[in-house]
Amino acid sequence: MKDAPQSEGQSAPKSQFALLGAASPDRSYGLPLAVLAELTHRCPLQCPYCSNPIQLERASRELSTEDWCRAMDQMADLGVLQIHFSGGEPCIRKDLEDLVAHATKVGLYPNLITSGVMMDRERMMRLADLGLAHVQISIQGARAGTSDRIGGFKNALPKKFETAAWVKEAGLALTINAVMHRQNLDELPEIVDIAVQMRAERIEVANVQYYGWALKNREALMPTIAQLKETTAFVEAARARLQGILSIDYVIPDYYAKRPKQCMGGWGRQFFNISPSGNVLPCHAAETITGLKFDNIREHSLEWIWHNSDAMSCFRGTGWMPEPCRSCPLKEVDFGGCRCQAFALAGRADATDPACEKSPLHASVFETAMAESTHGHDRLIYRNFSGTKEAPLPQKD
Amino acid sequence: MSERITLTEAMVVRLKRSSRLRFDKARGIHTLLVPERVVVLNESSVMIIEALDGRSIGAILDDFAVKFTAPREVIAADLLKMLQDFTDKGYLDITP
Repeated sequence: MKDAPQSEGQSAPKSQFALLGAASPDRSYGLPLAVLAELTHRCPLQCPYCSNPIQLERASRELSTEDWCRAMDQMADLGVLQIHFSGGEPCIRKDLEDLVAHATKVGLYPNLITSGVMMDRERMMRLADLGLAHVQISIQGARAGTSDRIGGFKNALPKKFETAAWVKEAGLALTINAVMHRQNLDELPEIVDIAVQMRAERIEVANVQYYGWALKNREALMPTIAQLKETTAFVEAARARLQGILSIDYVIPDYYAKRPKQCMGGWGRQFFNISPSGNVLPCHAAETITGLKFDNIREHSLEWIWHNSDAMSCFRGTGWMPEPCRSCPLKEVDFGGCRCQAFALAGRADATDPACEKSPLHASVFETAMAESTHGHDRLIYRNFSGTKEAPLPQKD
Repeated sequence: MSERITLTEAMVVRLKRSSRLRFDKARGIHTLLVPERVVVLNESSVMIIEALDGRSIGAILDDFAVKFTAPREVIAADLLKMLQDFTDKGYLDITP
């Protein structure tokens, strides 16, 4: 999913590089514009909707500094323009400075996607001097109780405020990533106020996408239809009120959508993801589709992988589509939506995305969402290496 | 809370540290790299951005009117429209 970067922990599947969607005459896909570099799965936070796979990679399997630098050389040659350093928490990597410096050296635009709880002022200034351009800080909730409970980390908010202030002091661009769900949607107006207070240029309001950890916690996360309506109205009004102050990107929840999202700008069309151990994925959630074979940067060049990897090409273009997608006039608008979602809900990665109203599963998915959002429990399983720890239940006020 | 800035000719605008002009060799196009976006630039947009060197918008317009022997008000309309859009999107630093 996601057509480029992602909020830390969750990605927003927007099409942000629409201007550059052009394919070369002899191919149905273009050159990759952006890469999500997941440096590590280690993270001090434990957000229950994390976009990392359930099977987290251990530190011992992570790529070395040299592996990443070689990959960045190849990205630049291939036409990649932006690199998003993400995780896990990318600040855990002691070589983050070396990686940002190398990205700058080869002409990539470096973006850091972080929880903001591990930064210090000196490091931020150093990263800025080495060419870092943009920082995205996640917010789990506007109130301390929500923030601590959802992230599974105490006193995160004051640290995020500090980090945001350093980003602005360094003259870098700041985006707030707000992953929204039933248990924090009511705090969205306060989260938007926080983004303005932090002097962010952008906020990504992304409803949770249900794969991996989020699918495991779906019942506790699914928003109600009333929340969705209220949120959409709020976002429209806030966009008008904050024009020229804060840009708001908004992703509605798939289960309540009529049309599927144009996931990643189309499978293998302009984006790829590198996992901590070097697997190249068409999107960060692609490992949830069992049976796909991924190629690794330790064995092949990125150019070879982009053009030849089975995982990269199997859902490229429109040739793989079943009916009703194949004869749908919108097939080159949404490129068939999200394959990970089709796999999660229909059991087949080449099925019509159930987010589409033309899918035979659309009505039942909508009903599941309605039922889970109104009758579901609030128990959340934290994302961590054990995968069994439960979050405390919310305090009712 | 901050307010939206409406540009005037007296203002000085510069690219933010996070907005980077880059020629994309692989595709043969000029781009402005900004958070989560690649803005494709035509030749005149590149010229406008390269002129953001500390002069006021008015001084740039005076210069362009002579250089391109075009009516100043025509150039002003185009240039202010583009720079206002970039300002609204947060790509520029503005000094009143």
